Parts: sequence; structure tokens; C-alpha cells
Amino acid sequence: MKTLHLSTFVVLAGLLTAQTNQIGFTRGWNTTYTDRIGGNSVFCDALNHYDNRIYEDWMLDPADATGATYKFAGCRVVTQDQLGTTPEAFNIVAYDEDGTTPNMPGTVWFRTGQINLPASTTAGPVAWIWTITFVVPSTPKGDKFIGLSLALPATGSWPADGLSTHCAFSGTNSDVPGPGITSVNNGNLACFMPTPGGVPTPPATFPAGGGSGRREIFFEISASVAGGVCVTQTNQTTYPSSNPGVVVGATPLGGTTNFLSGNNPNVYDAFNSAPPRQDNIGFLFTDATLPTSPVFTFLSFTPNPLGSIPLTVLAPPANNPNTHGNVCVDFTVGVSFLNFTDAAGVSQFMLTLPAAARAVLQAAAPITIWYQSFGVNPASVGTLEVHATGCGKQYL
Amino acid sequence: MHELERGVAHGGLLLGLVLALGTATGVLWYARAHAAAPAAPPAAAPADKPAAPAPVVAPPPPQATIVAVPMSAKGKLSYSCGQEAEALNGVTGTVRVDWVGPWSPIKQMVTDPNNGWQWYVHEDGSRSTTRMIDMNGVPQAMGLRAQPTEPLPVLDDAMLKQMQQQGAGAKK
Repeated sequence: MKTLHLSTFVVLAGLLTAQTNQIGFTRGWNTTYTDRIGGNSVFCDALNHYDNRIYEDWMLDPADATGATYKFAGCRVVTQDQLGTTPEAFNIVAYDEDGTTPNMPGTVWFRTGQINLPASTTAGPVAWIWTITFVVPSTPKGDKFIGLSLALPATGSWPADGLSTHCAFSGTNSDVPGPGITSVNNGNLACFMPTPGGVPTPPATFPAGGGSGRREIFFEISASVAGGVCVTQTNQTTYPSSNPGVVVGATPLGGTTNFLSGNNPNVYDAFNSAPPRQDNIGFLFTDATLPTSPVFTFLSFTPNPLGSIPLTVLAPPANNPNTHGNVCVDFTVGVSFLNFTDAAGVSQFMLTLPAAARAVLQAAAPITIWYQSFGVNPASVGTLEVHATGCGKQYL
Repeated sequence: MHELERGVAHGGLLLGLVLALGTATGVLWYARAHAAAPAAPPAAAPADKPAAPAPVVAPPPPQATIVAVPMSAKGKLSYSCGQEAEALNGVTGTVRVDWVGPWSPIKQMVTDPNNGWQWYVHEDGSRSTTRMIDMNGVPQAMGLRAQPTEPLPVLDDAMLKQMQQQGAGAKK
């Protein structure tokens, strides 16, 4: 071992031009269990389903003026090795949607090489939160399946040893999503793809969902876009990170952005809960390049009737190189709101629903609310600099 | 932090944006109706084709996180919070590592006896490093931070069954 002098390290200001934002998927989270998503006896890839059902156009490659491809530049995920003294390794991996079977992982989008866990002297479970920076190849947008590989031990078996990842689960001891969750594809939010011998072997398996079996891998994504995620403030005592005013992971006003209540709020106490659920709904914008800047958030019940349109049509990149994103929300009939970002470029828009509004929403259910935010650089002069988030959807 | 939450449906600035977007939509609609050729396809392969094995990694665009430095220079590990250190594991470029939360100074550098990986060990127990790691078979300089966190219980079948029973009782 070698001790380094502190003088080796200097304060660095603005060395890199790169600017990525966390999209915001893991704000306001409690993870309750570590899990292999069902692949308990096989080497597998554990994958979240980033479904068009809930998010569209959310990690567009800014270098693609057509707004037709996805790309990202880093991730955050948790590994847990059941026996620290025999450290495992993992890969970050992503799949495109299968060309013939919708909502299932098909061909590999990318797979990193092996990432080794640090050595440990702990003869028991060891967990690490990983933050990894890389550049992935771009790929056509659409449903994506992104996660990590989960090794099994060379000797022994799970769960005495082996790798798993931290997840949020649905359930009465955790987060109970609203009625919209019943329309989730394949009944769950994550799946495992068997990889015996290192070869992906479809089909992937989505664990049975039901009331308490739904799970989402804690997996954050960083990309060179404005982050935009649905957020729900709940009054659940079993999932306090989703309560208003409880700030977990840069959610300024509190609330969860997970795929459970985050995308499937319970605004009219659909299950006669105790205490009665009175969720409030909203959208969270993140763009570190736009501190103290105006953000327009559009709400509608439908997508853009003309299809998803690149903002570069409005502001050609030759003259407006910093405008990026697509218009996917129905702005022709949507309602819009103005917020301002804080010094970190974060803005949380919330709708506090009165009782009358909850009754109206219940009568109209099931309905889908679309959100999309547009951050504007007020300092841009002579050019238009607008950063569009993707479209997020909440199922009521 | 500004938390101005006023609905300004069809306000002045908003109206301008909507009008501009509307104009753009019209332009696009017109262009579609009169286009002689379809828009240029995306550069990447269609989703239903297998990923190409080797040359799928495009050269890093200007906004990429890897910045070229002279070959003779030593690489840098650049933390997003503004700190920097010498790159490890033979990486020669500048590699960014996202650092979430307050900065924790580096205590020492260690080499893992299991695999030879070099790591910085921080005062909060985090490890950070740079390393050439394959991306679809092509080596790429990546930045990594591993931050210790509390292990969670394993969800086994008995627990799952118990949770599902609780879930069934959740509805009145």
C-alpha cells in the first residue's frame, strides 16, 4: 500500500466540457430487499424494463438531429455479494426490444467487460453502490432493458454466496402502487435473462407480479439530456421516502420517482387504504446546465398528435447547437405551468389535488397523464436554447 | 431555490414557445407532405438485428466524457465535484467519475491482490478508479466509484409468500 500526499490532488474547475444529468429514476427511494429477479440458480442478466408505456424519448442522443436514437453515459446501481471474502464480478448490460415479441428483451445493445468488486475481508454480505462512467453506442429508441449481470459462486450456491442487486418491492410493508399498475406489461417491472456460459438465452422471465411481487432494480442512468421523471407524493407510512417533505436523492419537495407509485399513483384511494391514500402528482426536471432557469411543464392526456418531433426542426442545430430533445407531449391541448430550477438545475412541479379533482379523476379512470418539460437558457442571446425532457406518463 | 409554481397557461413567454413549436410542427408537416425522399435513417442498426461485435463504438462526440490528452501525459481521474487525481490502471486519458454527495478525500491507493486492479480508498470507505474495460469488445477508459452501503436481506420464497398474503389483506 502507498499513502498519497494530498498535494497530489487539486481543485479542478470545469476541466471537462462533458455534462450529463441523472435522469432521476431513483429519487425518493427505499430499497427493501436484495434480489436476483428470479434467476436464483443460473448466471443471468437482471434487467429493468424501460418501457415506452411510461417513458418516451427520454435519453435521446443529442448528436442525432432526427431524435431517433438513444444513448447514455453512465449509471448507478447496487451490488451485493453474499460472501465478501470471495468477491465476484459483474457487467453492465442492455438489450433492445425483441423484434417479434414486444416488451421482451431481444438482441444485446451493449455489454461492458468485467467489473471486479473490491477485495473484502468481510465473511458475510457486502454491498456497494456503483457509479460508472462510460460511453455506450447509440441505438434506435424504444423499449430498453438495462441492468447488470449477476454471477453465481464458483463453489456453493445462492444465497450462501453469489451476487444480487438492491430493489424496491411493492407490498404493504413497502410501496403500494395505485390501480394503474395492473396495466404494466408482463406483470412486472424487471426480468432476468439467462446467460449460461455467458450467452444470452431467451426468453427472459418476468417474476410473477401480484400484489407484492413487483420489483424494480435501483438503477439510475446519466445522459447528455435534461432529465425528466414522474414524481408522486404519497401519505404511506410504509414508504416514507415517498412522503412530501422527505428529501431523498435530490427530490426537492419529496415524493418518489420509482416505477411503482411514481408512475402509478393512487389519487382517489382506490383500495380503501388506512389512512386513505391521497397522492399528489407531478414531474421532476433536472439539468445542471440550466441553474435558476425557467422550465415549462406541459400536461396532457394524449401524445403529440403529429408524432414525436425533434426540437431541431424549430431551432436548426447549425445556429442553435445547444437545443435538443423532441416534442412528444400533446402541446396543442395541454395545460402548461412555469417553474424555475434551483441552483443545481432541479425543478419539481407538483399538482396538489383538491377533493373535487380526485372525484373527477376517479370518475374518468382509467386515464393517463402525460408530462414533458422544456428548460430554457435565459442567457442565450440570438439563439434558442431549449432542453426537452422525455415524456413521462402516470396511470391513474 | 426558486419554487415558483404559478400556472401561466397561455402566458406571454409560454405563448411564444407554443407558437414557435406550432410553427415548427407546421413546417415539419409540410415537409413530410412534400418530401421527395424519407428522412435520413438513424446511424445505428435496427433493433431486430444482432448487435455488431467489434466496431460498434463510434468515436466519442464532443460531449463525451473522455478528453484526449497527449500520449506522453499521464491520465487524470476527474471527479464531478471538482477534484482530480492521477488515473490508475494505465489509463492515459482524462476520465470522469461521477461523485454523488459530499467529497471524501483520498487516503491511499491499493492494489487488489485478486486481480491487480488499482483503487483509491477514500476516507468514507469509497473506492474509485479508472480502468480500460471493454464496451462490446472494444476497450474503453471507464471511471468507477464503489461506495459501501448496508447489505439488505435476501428475498426468499417464504418472505415473498408472506408479502403476498399481506398484500391480499391490504384491500378492505
